Amino acid sequence: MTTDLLFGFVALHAYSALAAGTFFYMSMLEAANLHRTRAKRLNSYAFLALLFSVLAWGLKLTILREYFQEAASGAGDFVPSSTVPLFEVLQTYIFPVVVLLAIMLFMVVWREGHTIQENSSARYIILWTSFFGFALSAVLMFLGVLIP
Amino acid sequence: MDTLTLLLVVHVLGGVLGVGGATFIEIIFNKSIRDGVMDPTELGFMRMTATVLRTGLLISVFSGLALMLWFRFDGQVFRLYDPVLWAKFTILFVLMINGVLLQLHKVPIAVGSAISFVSWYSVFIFGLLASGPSHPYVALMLWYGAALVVGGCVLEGIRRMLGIRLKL
Repeated sequence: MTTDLLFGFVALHAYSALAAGTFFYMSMLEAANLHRTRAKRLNSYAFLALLFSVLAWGLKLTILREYFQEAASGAGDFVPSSTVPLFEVLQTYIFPVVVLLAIMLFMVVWREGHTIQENSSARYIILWTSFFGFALSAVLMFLGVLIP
Repeated sequence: MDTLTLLLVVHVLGGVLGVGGATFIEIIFNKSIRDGVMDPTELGFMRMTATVLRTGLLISVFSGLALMLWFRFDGQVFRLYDPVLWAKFTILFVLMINGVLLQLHKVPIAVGSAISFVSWYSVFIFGLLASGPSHPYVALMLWYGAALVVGGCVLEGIRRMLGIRLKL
């Protein structure tokens, strides 16, 4: 893979993580609206958060695979950095958690989204799930940009 | 116009919309609440201004990421570790959480609007600082904390001068 193509993947990955974080945040804002939460809108946001988090995970796996292949062969333009193992460990653990949170959010919204006005526990589950999804996506976005 | 300049222009445009939105929300809010009620027209203006503010936030976040990627690929990684940039991220996080807490009515409107107003101006000023010499993160956050207290008091003072009493 050429460096330009890899940079393209890195950029796409970072933007996917940002988009996932944005949709998690929008779900959080919609669920926090005490006067009129629109279930349809909440559903779309949760679905888009899931879609972008899966996309970001897939792109990250591609980038990591490429990095380790090049590092093993000694070819390519990448200069291994001492910070890579930490980034890699963090990403390996955080990514599946974000996808899991997105799945959880989507399922809760799908099943309970229309009852949110009278069901405060569903509201709080949606709020906390989307908050953690938002925070972790933001962390992944930064790591995605910082990783060599 | 080269790509970097274009990105900077878009980023500043987002900041301008955000700061302008925060300013007008404060003005419209204080003007509307003077008589004790907010009529549908005033509420409409508030919602419209909030949309402008959120658009500004979105534009500055997306262009900010593009700038980060640009620096990353251009070999200027040191810029990503600038404390001013991380102070901006911290304030952005505060702004976003403040937005949710305001929606949930967990923060009094007087406090929430002061946090939003001061935070937007802080991000704007820190953005201007980014082109100059670097500053320690803790010092920046202390300045931000002080600005929150002073800004909150000034806004409350203005409200009292206008005869507006909000629950704190």
